[in-house]
Amino acid sequence: MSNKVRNITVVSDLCDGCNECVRACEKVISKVSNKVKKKIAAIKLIRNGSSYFPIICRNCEDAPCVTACISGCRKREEGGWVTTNYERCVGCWMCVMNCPFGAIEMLMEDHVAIKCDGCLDKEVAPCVAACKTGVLSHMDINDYTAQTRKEAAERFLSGSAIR
Amino acid sequence: MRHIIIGNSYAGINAVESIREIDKDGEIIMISDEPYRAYSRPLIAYYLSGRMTDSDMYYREPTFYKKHRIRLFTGERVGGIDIEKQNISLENGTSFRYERLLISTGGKPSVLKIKGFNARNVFTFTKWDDAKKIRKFAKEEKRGIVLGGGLIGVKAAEGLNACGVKVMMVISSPRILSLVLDEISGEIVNNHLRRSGIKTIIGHSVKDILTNPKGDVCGVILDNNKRLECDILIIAKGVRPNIDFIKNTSIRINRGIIVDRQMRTNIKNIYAAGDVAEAWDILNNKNSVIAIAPLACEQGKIAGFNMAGVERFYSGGIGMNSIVVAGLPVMTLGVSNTVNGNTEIKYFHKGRLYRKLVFHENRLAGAILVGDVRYGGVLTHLIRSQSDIKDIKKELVDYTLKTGEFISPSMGFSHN
Repeated sequence: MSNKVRNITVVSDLCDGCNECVRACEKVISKVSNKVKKKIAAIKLIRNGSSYFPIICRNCEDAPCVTACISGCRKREEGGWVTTNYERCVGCWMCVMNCPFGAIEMLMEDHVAIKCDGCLDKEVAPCVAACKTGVLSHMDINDYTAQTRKEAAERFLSGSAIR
Repeated sequence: MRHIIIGNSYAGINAVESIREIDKDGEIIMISDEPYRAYSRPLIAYYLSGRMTDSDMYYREPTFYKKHRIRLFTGERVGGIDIEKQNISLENGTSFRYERLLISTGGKPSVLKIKGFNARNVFTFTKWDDAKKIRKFAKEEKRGIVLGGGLIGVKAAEGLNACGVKVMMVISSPRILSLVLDEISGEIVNNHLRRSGIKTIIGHSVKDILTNPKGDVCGVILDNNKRLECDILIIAKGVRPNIDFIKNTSIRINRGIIVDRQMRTNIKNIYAAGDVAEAWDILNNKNSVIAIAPLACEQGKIAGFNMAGVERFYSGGIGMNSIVVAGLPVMTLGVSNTVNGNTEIKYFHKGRLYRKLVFHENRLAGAILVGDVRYGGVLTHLIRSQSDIKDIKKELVDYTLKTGEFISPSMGFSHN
């Protein structure tokens, strides 16, 4: 059990679609299991018009991928992140059928359902390290909302919000 | 507080995990009629095919029971429940008093009551022991017949096929997986199965089972008098809730045990969850038995929390399944093959790729995905939440909606 507390926070309006996070993830995710033969990433960018949005595991509180897993290969670590034991994944796609965020990738031939396991063994997750625009960060979600509130208040006080 | 859990599979295991999250000191007893610690039932097909070893089968780590301080009784059957005395008795004579009881005894296979059904080369296919026994018979060049074209039948046929057995499926319904697939998807799956080496006879049932002088089954006679020979026969004619042992109690049953949103039966300290329970069914607007692993786990969790004194409510389930048929992924969600007046259906079909969306007014009621099942969870979520999909309908039909990120603010999933 890893008790490392990991937060990967997404501030999407900054994303310019450079894809560096995806490339960084590809390099590490292939090493999670010998079963992974194909190039894959556990983060992907969705394009909507001219804007981009990174899709990554959100570690739902009542994680449907854990409840739906028939082999029991997914579990929540003490630190809060949901991780996968890929040796036990059979590729039944029950988690894919239950992930509301579409954040699980299927490796059909390798019978593995890949999701972001947080890179808990690393101080900084490679996707976060690779992100130049600050979309991905290890900021705590409470700090993040406090910051956005503060920024909003500052905008309001300086009058920029009502211009 | 003493919690007793009858059953040791998905619902039971998830229940005890929830109980222990809240109640660190209470006593927990689990009773299973099988000789194993919890294993993954659906994996018996992989086990039969040889893809899984014994140690791959277990659902939780070996230390699970010790870690959660659970007294596990394996190989024991519950004979009866005395609701007044809050007592359960095992068939071996032992009895236990409970303060909270969870019935999570799952389902049991329906059997054909025709001559020969209990021969030693006739099997059902729901438990690990079934797979173990079948393995001994399933040798190269043997001929196997599978009766039933549902999920269990398909998985049994695939397992036998992987062992080198020449398999024939006899399906009395008009198509394979007839409860969830429509005509086109049934055709795709059937063709795919046949290409993998499994033969199918569709629309015919078995009239007679033939036995040889040794008492072993050696063939079947179909309703059209056609005779098929076999060395092994698997009966996969559905599963029903395992409730025989409570039939003379005052616990309310219909097809399964009727439970409220807290997974409580009509008796206030008795709960039920999983394939044995008849719980809220979102699309049919009533309670029904939906015997699938993800819902068994969800219901088990809810039952566990309530048993430990923390109120949690089941939001209701939908029928859904994800299976891989000879390498072809298939997902069926919600109402996937029935049509009524207010229903609008959108199809996409190209070769082995098939996608069907069933809309009911401004809601998604069901879907079938064959070949490409990516982002199926987004659809599941839209169906379960019965969200208004007016604004995203085009994306749904074009299959460009790859995430629920922007459409699920009110669906009860909080981020960490």
